Amino acid sequence: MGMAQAQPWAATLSVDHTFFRRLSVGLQYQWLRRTTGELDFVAAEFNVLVFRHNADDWQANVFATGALGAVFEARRPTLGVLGVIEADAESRRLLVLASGRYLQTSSGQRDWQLLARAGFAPVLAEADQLNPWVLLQYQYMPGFASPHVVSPVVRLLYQGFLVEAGVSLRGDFFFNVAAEVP
Amino acid sequence: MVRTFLVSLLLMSSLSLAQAATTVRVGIRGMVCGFCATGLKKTFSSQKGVTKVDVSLEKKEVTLQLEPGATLDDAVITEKVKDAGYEVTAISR
Repeated sequence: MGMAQAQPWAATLSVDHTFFRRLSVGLQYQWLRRTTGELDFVAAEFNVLVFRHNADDWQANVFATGALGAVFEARRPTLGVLGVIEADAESRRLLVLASGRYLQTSSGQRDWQLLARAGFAPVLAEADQLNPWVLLQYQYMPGFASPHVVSPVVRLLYQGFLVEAGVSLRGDFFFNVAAEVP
Repeated sequence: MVRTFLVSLLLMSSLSLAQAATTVRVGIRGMVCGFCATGLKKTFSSQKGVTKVDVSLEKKEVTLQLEPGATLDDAVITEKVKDAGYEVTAISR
């Protein structure tokens, strides 16, 4: 699985491979522009499916991600540890998601963010059809120029490819692509 | 002579039945999106003897086409679906 996400104050690239039933391992790169300055984070990461509930018409998941790598602040390298916990529930019609992430560097920098999403699929698409979604996304990012960001987002899902694009209520763009490598 | 003919006919028809392509329908619980469908398609496409995989989110079902003479145990199907993160509700052939 490959993923790229961008906003004016952050960008993430990651590539993961699922080796075992509930574990994937990969690499990620992050760029953040906080009020205290910019930082880059390059790390090895693992993702664990902590919990999965399969119902007839919906599923619920809890994922945990851990990453360890190098943080570059003003070209000075330090150690960084990232932890992410994410919970979601989705049917073919509705989805809700909440996640929290925390990055700690050995130089004492801390960054944490919260994300919440709710989505609606106006069309119930089949597996081989284009599946459009409309989402409302809320981000809380203390330490950033705009800590509260609300963005309506359009998601297009086609088989193993996902594209999301949105504009926040303040006019900032949001872009996300993900692909399941065949 | 008639007996030989009948036995041959019986053998040929049973051989032909054994060689016919088999369709296996697998009911899936928890499959709700294109990513789920792609994952399950990938899971079964790499399985020996499977020639075609169709996924229906509406029917909550994966349909497997097996090559003539190939077999795929229910236990193997169930394990593969479980590995992909879902549950089997029914298997019919």
